Amino acid sequence: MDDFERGLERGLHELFDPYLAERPEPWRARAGGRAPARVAGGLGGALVAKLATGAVLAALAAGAGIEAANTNSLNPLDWGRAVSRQVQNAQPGRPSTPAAHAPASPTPGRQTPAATPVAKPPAVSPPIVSPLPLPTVSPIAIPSISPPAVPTIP
Amino acid sequence: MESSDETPEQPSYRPGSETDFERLYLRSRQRVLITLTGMLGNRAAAEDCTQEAFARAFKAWKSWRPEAPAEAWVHRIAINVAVSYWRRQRLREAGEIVRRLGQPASPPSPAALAERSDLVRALRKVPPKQAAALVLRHFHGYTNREIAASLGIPERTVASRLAAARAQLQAFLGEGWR
Repeated sequence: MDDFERGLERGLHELFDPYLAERPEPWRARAGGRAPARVAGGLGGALVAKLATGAVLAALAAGAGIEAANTNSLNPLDWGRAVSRQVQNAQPGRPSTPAAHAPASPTPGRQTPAATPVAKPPAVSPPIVSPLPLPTVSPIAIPSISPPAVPTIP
Repeated sequence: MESSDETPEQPSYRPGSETDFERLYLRSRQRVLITLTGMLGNRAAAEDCTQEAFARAFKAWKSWRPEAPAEAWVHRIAINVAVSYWRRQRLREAGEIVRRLGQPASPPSPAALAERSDLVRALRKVPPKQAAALVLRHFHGYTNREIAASLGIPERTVASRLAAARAQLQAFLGEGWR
C-alpha cells in the first residue's frame, strides 16, 4: 500500500466513520407496519371475520330460540303478535309490583319509626295482573331406530 | 440450523428467514449506506437507494444462496439501484443545464456544501461502480471475491478495475493530495 492508498483510507474513514456510529432502526419498523397489514389481510383476517360472523349468528339464533320457545311457534309473525299482546296487557300508570315504586330512604339503617312519618298509601285496589300463559314446550320425539334384521345364512 | 456456525467475519443466515434478514439489515445497512454515499456523493439520495435496495433484497431473500456472502449480495442489489439512480440523475442534470442556460446559478445549500469535501467531489467524478470498488476495498476492506460478488464482475477483473479507479481518482485529486 502506497501513500496515496493510505491517504485514501484515512480520508474515507474521516468521512464515513460517523455513519457507523449511527444505529439503524429495525427493519420491521422501517418497513412500515407490513406485518399487521398482512395479518389483517391474510389468514388472520379470515379467521377474525369468521369468528365475528359466527358470534352474530349465534346471538341471532339464541334470540330466535327464546322467542320460539315463548310463543311455541317458529313463525316470526307470532313472535311479534306475542309482544303486542304483552304491551296491550300491561296497564299504564300502575307498577307491576308495589315495592318497585316504594319511596326509597337514603339511610335505611338509621331509620326510626318515630322520625320517619309513614305516608298513608292511597286507597287503590291492587292491580290485577294476569300472567301470560307459559307455553308448554313438548320435547321432540326421538325416533327409535331398530337394528335391521340380519339374515341368517343356513 | 440457528446460526450455530456464525463467526464475526461471516455470519450465517437462512434464506427466507425474517429474523435473519433483520440481522443482516442491522449489520450491513450503514455499510451499504456508506458505499452508496461514496458513489453518489449525496447522503439523502444514498439513504433512498439503500432503503430501496433492502426492500428489493427482502423480496428476493428466499432466493439468496448461502454460497455468496450475504452482505456482498445486498451490496450488489444496492449498487445496481444506485447506478440506475445515477443515470436518471445525470439525465435530469443535463435537462436542468439546458433549461437554465443564460440564468444565474443558484447557490448550493449548506447540506450540499457539507458533502463537498475534495474526496467526495473526486469520487463523484469517477464512474459509480469504480467509486463503489474503491469504497469496498479501502473502507470496508473487502476481498477481491467480495468485490466481484458486489459488482457482479469476474474476480480476475477486480484488480484491473481497482487500478483504473485509483488512477482516475488520483488524477482528479492531484498529485499533492494528502
